[in-house]
Amino acid sequence: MTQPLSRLLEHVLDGEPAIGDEIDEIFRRADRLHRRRIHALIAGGLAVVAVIAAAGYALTSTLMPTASRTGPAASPRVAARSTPAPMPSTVADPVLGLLAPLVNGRKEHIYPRPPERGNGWRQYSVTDQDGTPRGTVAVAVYATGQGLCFPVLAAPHRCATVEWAPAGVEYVRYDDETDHDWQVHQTIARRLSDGRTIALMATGERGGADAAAGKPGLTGAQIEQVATGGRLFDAFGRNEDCFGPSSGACPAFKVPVPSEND
Amino acid sequence: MSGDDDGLREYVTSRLPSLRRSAFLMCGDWDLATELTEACLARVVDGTRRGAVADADVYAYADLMEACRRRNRRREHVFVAAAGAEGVAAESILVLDALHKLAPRCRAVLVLRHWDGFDVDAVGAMLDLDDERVDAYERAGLAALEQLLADSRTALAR
Repeated sequence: MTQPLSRLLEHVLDGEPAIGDEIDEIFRRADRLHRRRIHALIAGGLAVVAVIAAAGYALTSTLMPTASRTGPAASPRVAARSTPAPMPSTVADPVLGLLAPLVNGRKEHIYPRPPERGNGWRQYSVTDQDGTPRGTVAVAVYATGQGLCFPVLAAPHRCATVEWAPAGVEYVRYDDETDHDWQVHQTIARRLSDGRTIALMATGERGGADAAAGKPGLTGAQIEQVATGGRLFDAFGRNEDCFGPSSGACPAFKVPVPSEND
Repeated sequence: MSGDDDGLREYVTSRLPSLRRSAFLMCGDWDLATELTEACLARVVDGTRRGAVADADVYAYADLMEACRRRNRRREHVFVAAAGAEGVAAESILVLDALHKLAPRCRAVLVLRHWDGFDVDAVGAMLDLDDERVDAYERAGLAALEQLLADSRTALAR
């Protein structure tokens, strides 16, 4: 270039306006920027808190849906369906450990039904995967000794013909589906080695609209299988006996196990 | 705090005129140059108060050049005089016109090097360029500017 660029540019700046209150305006702008940043920080913090609260609420309502969905005006049936008791450990309850695989195979759930247990007896509720009640399962163990007359409902003074299971167990199976409102699958089984007797009964939910709604949660074959397998005897403590001192609390069976006094 | 603000006020007072002239050379509009410079120095003040500014000059010129580059896309006039200003020499209009025909980054290198007098390293830091690129922009910008001015003078002489 024929002359330095800076000299050329000097002339370009002729007519430059005077500086007025630009300095104060700059500091006012800086203060506004500061306030805007503080507000943005507060808004961001509030947004984070809101997101965390929303996520917590969503997680809570997803993982624990029953508490929020059951209103005070819900019918007893709905309430029973939506507030299942927590599933106990099958290790802590060996009886439940034998029943649970069968129920779970039918995509149902089984859990203790209050009053759930006592000396020589257990009681459970069954629900399907929608939470609809599928009746109860009751099981009791009795020290019946050497001789047991398996009852015949139609003939109170006669003894039923027993069948034999491989585990040294004699048993009689009682299924009664004639009453749609109280369908029962029951097996009474006696182990010869120690004279202990098991009564295992599954009953359907009463008050259902039809026979299908009142079907028990376990089939007669499943009840028989568990009752005669031998392991159910061992799932109770050695000293447990539903004929014992607290026998009044034992569940009522469709076909009661006769005691020696009967 | 007030001591810090006194130092900042001194800095702003000393840098405002030169920054505004550089902005004018970049955009050709005194009002726009004033607006861009005020916004730039407000960010410098705010950043300095927060301790986020290491080198105020590098921060200020880098911010200003970027703001001018963004505004340049919407530029409609080669030169907009300040309100109440006297006439400007035709030669100045030619220089501004030639300057504004250059690419924004090339123009920024020429303004920072030849008007503000920064060295190559400082200009590289302000424009995020390495030294070779600054040199290349400067050589290309000067050659183009000389050619544009020669063409303009020839056209005016006819």
